[in-house]
Amino acid sequence: MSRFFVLAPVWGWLALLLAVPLAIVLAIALGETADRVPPFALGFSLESFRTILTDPLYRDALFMSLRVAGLSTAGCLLLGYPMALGIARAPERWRDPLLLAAMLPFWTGFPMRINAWIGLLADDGWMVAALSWLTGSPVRLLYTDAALYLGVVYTYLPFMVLPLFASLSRLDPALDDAAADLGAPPWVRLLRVTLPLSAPGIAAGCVLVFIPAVGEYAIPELLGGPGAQLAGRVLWSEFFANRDWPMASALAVTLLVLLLVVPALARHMLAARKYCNNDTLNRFQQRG
Amino acid sequence: MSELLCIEGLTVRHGATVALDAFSLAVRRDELFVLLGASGSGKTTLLRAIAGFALPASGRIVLNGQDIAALPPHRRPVNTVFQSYALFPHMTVAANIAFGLRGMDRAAVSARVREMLALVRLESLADRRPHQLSGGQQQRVALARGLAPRPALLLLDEPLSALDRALRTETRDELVRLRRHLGTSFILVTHDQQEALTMADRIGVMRDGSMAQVGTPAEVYEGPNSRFVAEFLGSANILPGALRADGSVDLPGLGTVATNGGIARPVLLALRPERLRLGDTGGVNRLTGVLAASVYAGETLIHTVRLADGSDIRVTQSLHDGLSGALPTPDAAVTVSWSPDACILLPP
Repeated sequence: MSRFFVLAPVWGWLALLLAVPLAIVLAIALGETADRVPPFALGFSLESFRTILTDPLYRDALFMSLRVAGLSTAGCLLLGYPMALGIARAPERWRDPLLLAAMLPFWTGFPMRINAWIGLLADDGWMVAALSWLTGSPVRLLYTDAALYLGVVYTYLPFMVLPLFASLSRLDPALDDAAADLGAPPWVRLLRVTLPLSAPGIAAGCVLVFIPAVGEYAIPELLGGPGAQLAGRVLWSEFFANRDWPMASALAVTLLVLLLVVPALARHMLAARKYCNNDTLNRFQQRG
Repeated sequence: MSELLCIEGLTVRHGATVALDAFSLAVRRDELFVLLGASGSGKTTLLRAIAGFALPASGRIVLNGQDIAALPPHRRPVNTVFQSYALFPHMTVAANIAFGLRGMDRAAVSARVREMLALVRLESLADRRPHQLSGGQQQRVALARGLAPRPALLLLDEPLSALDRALRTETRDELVRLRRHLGTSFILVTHDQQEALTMADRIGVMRDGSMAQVGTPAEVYEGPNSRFVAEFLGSANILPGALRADGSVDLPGLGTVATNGGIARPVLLALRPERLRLGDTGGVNRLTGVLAASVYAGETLIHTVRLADGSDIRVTQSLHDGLSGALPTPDAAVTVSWSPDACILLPP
């Protein structure tokens, strides 16, 4: 009984900040639009969900979100793994400065950094000029898919590097020595020892990048082309432009369900490996 | 040529400190060579230099006539049993043993793995993962993994230090038997003198990055060439004196004792405690003193005798007939006796 009272504030906050808002979103998603303030009527209608699953606009937006998030996660992994490995294997006194350098951009506000990219990628910027000169034909960067992916990978790279570093720096260096001693050249050591042993870090990093990237709204809006109709953008326009609150809420719920499936799958896959403990996964799931 | 490994003038630095200083060593075929030294004596650095993990500033490491000093670890025909074993936690016992067998066809690999598992008697545990094994079993997997690629030389870094005492004795004997059976040369690093004496074909005693003495266990124990070796391997009573032309040693303030010779110069006389006797029965050499203390150590009694000049010497008495009647009274006047061939003469 005393346990209940000790934990009561925790449950209280969880209910107030998590359960109640979620319940409100779900309630709106099940309602119908109405010509009043706020612009919906409570009810039990699955119409919005049916539209999301059948109308190509919403379906494509969800698929595109998953594709952009998936490809960006892969990009972050390809860039972040060598970075994390380099930092983890650097001499002790270099590790903290290098980690700091990886996180340094985050000391500047997000809009500032994206605006800097807009300036860099703009049609009259030096990057466009250099690329046009190199390829011999006019090139466009800003408001293209390339700019969109660049922006997402740039923004989420530290979320990949940090868990990878945490996992790689915990590996016993003697294991790499043992593999070398048994005749394995560097690339075999990477593939057969380092990579499988850092699987928990890879899973943590991928989930930390993938989940926020799926719901990303600002980067496609600011850097992507008009065709980049991602779920976040569609949701925004349903809410603010169309004033269709039930549809926007239903999109949010659908996205949330999709995002709960991904870490569950990652967890399931890792649980199959006995050597991996679920600490890392538990930690970020609690944080998320 | 009987030398398998020749190390010449090897110098290894860690930053500003010199871990190995113009070090030379020859290891023969089919022998168990033990490197004995205190921590910081450079023995682990030497092992890492042979395996390729410590880069030498200068010198040659010649294995089977080929200088391997410049080769990376994965190109050297040398394998290591690491102190922590460093077994791959994500692989089964069988996969760990097969790791060094790349480039062989599948049937040959599985045959070799089975052979190695049988050698270390772990056939039933082939599909376990390292964390499911006991310390002794992990040690045997590490040994099997190191031996599987048929290395020219196996390096073992304190292989018994993580085992408890009973298991250590058993594993020690098994390791020696296994090595004799295979004929592979082992270099084993340890700080445990008992381990070194019982296992080694030859011992190298290391001190401050260089070799203090090399020889068979009996040669090094009974004929140490310096005070350091005499005191590091076993214990020794050290008495300063002067050697006379007839081979006897003049101990100032104590008298003259007979030895088996040498040349005239100031010397240190080293006496192993177990070669001394309380009473007159030990031999022609005698010193008198007062019994300062007696400590019971199970199989022996360790006496401390205060000599006429105030110095203490240690005498161990084997308890062949048990403790009854052996305990002498403290502060009694006693005689310590020993034979001339128990005298070890060391340079001062």
